[in-house]
Amino acid sequence: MLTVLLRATILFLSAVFVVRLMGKRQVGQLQPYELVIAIMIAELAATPMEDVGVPLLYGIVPMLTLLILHSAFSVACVKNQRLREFLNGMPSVLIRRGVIQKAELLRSCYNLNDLLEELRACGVLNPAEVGTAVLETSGKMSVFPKSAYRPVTPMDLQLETGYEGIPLILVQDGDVDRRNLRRGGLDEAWLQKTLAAQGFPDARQVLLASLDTGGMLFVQGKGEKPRLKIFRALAPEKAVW
Amino acid sequence: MRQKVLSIAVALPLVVVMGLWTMSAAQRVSEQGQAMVDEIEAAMRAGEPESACAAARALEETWEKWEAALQLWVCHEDTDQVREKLLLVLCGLENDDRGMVMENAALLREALTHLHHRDDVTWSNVF
Repeated sequence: MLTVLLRATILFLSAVFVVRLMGKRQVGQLQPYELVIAIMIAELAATPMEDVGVPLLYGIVPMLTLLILHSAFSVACVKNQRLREFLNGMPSVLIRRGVIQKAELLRSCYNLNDLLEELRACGVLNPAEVGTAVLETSGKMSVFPKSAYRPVTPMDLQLETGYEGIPLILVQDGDVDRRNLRRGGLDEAWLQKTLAAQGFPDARQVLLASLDTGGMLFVQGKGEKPRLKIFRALAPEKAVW
Repeated sequence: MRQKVLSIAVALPLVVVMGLWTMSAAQRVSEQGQAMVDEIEAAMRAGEPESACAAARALEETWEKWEAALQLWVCHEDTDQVREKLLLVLCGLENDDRGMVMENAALLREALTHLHHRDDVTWSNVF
């Protein structure tokens, strides 16, 4: 039994390592060959895990082979558009200018029920509101409403807006993130002083402190009834990461 | 991109070298074992059971040295077959049963050739 435990651990770590090396796209949107690899990795890990008589190398070497193939295909797809189209296919525009493209539906073996279901899954109840719908090569549907039905943007109202980038997490579960502080051109002394001024004398009592690109700091404390503060901690022009 | 190219550069030679080495190692063990089985059979035919016994013991010692390493890439079922047939040969030699020795020597040879069959790059293995 202990042997099975050890083998399962080794195979699991090998599978995680291989999938991790394959990159973020493997976990997110899967292209056809990536889906095949994901299924095969699961199968390859399972057989030596169950049968102690099968060498671990029978699982690990094929996983490494799949890593090589995936990496080779990915590199080749980056360099060569024709190969990319051959391996991944092309996206299909199922609704163009508000009109359902029957020929594309037939070519994609998509029936109207499937289409309506996907529209609803994308938050669109009324097909009359859809301007464009694209069936991506991963099988996911991208839906874009007609301009009359999309949410109003600041551009429509001719409002000027500032840059909105990724907020910096400065404290996470009581731990100060020094790398993010450096990224923001800040230091721990500034952080301690800012938190203390808002009633958080110790960063260890903070669950989350997040600084956005507008200079607003969101702080939530720990505890049963956590204190919550959102305030301007930095001038927007100083938030330059 | 760099990570992918690096993955190929590291994993591909590793897998190829490992494949070639295991193939050659299994074949070497198999051929050595078969030569020793030939000695056992030749000794039995010549009416020299003591020589056959010595050859069988030598094969047993060699096998014990190789078995643990072989099991890293050969299925245990295949290595167990070799061990089983070898024990039957030794049993036959101890009981002075020529028929048992010859029969199991032939099966032992077959089990030894099977060690590298899975690893060989042949059309029947690939397809």
